[in-house]
Amino acid sequence: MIVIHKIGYLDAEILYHRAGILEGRSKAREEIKDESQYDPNDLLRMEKEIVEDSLRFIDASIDVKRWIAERKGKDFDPTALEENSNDSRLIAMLNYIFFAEREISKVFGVKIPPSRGRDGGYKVDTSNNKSAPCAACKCNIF
Amino acid sequence: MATSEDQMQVFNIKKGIDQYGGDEEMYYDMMYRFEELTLDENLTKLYNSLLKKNWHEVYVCAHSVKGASGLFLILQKV
Repeated sequence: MIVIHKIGYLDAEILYHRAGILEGRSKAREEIKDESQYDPNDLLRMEKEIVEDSLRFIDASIDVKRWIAERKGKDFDPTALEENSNDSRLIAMLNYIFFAEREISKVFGVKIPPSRGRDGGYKVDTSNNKSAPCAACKCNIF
Repeated sequence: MATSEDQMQVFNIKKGIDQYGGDEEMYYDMMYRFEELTLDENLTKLYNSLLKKNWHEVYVCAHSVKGASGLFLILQKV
């Protein structure tokens, strides 16, 4: 029997898509060898966009991890991670990701996407509605 | 009642499983390995690369995850 993990499948597809966006932007920045030829503000804007895309990528990664954890039968409630999770590796990794996310946000002065971030509360989407255009990048892949 | 969207998802997951010779367990096992070996590792690398402003490494991380996730995703819409 094929088990339908509809949300998980779409989460993975969003991850694939956002990885592609991040890939493209970082490649464009990487290819700039002679920075003196560019306006520093343009470079700064490019870098900020890469960081924003990275945070969206991390966001999608968390959703995929949640899906996989559910598939494995692990408890995964990011709003009360320590109390309810029974996978120490998952907790460690998520705590690391949350820490990294805050550091990146702080260093680059970029906001964590509003739906996420432990300090602001992890908003779990239970609406099962992933058919809308991607909220982060406004693409319309579905 | 299954909608056409549900049917599309089933079809796509079936195609994904077909890539592993129809072995559903192997398909999901590869997904778990993707999480541990690719996703987690690249999230860690991404964090360090961003702080160092190493754009090449950022590109490599994104490229790796994109490539690996594509292995178990069939992205063509039916």
